[in-house]
Amino acid sequence: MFARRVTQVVSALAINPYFVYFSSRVTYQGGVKGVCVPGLNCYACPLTIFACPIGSLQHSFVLMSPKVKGSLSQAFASLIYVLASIGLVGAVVGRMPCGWVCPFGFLQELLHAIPTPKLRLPGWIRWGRYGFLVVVAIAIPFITAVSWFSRLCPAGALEGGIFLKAVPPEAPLPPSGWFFWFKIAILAAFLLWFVFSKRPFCRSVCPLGAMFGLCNRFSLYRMAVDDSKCTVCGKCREVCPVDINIHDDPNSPDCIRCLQCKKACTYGAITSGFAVAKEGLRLGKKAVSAEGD
Amino acid sequence: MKGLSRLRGRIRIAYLLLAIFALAIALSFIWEGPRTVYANAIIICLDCIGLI
Ligand code: SF4
Ligand code: SF4
Ligand code: SF4
Repeated sequence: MFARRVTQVVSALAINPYFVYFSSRVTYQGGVKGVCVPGLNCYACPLTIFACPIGSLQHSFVLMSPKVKGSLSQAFASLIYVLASIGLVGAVVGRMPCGWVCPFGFLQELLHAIPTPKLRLPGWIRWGRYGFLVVVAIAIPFITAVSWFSRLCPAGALEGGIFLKAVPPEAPLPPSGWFFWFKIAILAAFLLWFVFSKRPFCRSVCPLGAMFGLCNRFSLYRMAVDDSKCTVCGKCREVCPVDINIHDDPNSPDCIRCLQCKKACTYGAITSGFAVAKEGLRLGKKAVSAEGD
Repeated sequence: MKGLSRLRGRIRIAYLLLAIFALAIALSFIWEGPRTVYANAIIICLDCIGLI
C-alpha cells in the first residue's frame, strides 16, 4: 500500500508540476501539452503540463462533426494519436495507471478512507462507463460539436473550475452562470459518493477507465489466481478498491491492478507479472488455466 | 496446456497491438495529430470549467 500511495502522490505532482502559474498567472504552453497523460487529469488545471486523453478524444470528434468545417485529416490524426497513446500504455500494463497514476482515482480512495458506513455497488454499474464512453464522449460530441463529457466532468470542475476561480489567470474568464453552479453540484454529489462507495466514478462513469479496462484482456502484464491455493476466503475483495473477486476473472476489465489483493492473500494464490517467454513457469500451470478455459 | 497456448496467443496479440499503436502514433505526426491535440490543450477549456 505504501509504495502505491507514494507512486500516486509522485504521479499527481509529476502530472501537475507547473507551480510557476501562481506567479505568472499564465498556463503552461510548452510542447509537452500535446502528450496525453494516462489518467483523468483536466487540461484546464493551471498546474498541469499534459493533455487530458478524454478531453482530446472528444475534441477529435468535435472536429469530425458535420457542424464543424474542420480538417478531417487532422481530426482523424488526432483521434488515432489519442487512441494509440491510450492503447500503447494499455497493451503493456492494462488498467494499471488507474491504480497507480491517476490523481482522480487517488482522490476517490482518499475520501473513501473516511470512516463511515459503506455502500456496496451492484456489478451492473460497470456498464455505465461504456455508455459514457460511447454516448457522452463520442456520439454526442460528434453530433452536437460540443464536448459534453467535459461539460459534466467532476474532475474538470475540481481541477479547473474551482482552481481557476480561486487563482484566476491573467486573461479574464467569462463570468460564472447557472451552469458553473450546476457543475459544482455534480462535483459535490460525486465527492460525497466517494466517501460511501469504492471508486464509484471509476467503476460507473470514466470513459478512460473503460478503455484501459478492455486492455486488461490482452496486455503483457497479467494477473492470475491459482485455484488449488485459493480458498475463496474473500480477503482479496475486502481490500479491493473496486470491490471485485479477482478469483472470478483475474484479468477482468474492472481490475485497476493495484495489487492490494496479491499482498492480502495469505495463501499466495494471486500472481502477477509480465508473462513473456517463460510465462508458464512464472504464473504456474494452474494459474495459466485461469486464463479463460 | 490449452490455457498456456491461449496465453501465448494473447501475448502475441499484445505485441502486435503494441507495434500497431506505436506505428499509429508515428503516422499521426504526418497529419498533425499531436499538434491538433496540443493546440486544443493549451487553451483553457471553458466546457471543462463550466464557464459556458
Ligand atoms: S477510471 Fe478512475 S483511475 Fe482510471 S482514469 Fe478514470 S478516474 Fe482515473
Ligand atoms: S484472498 Fe486469496 S485465498 Fe482468499 S479468496 Fe482471495 S485469492 Fe482466494
Ligand atoms: S482485483 Fe486486486 S489488483 Fe484488481 S483492483 Fe482489486 S485489489 Fe486491485
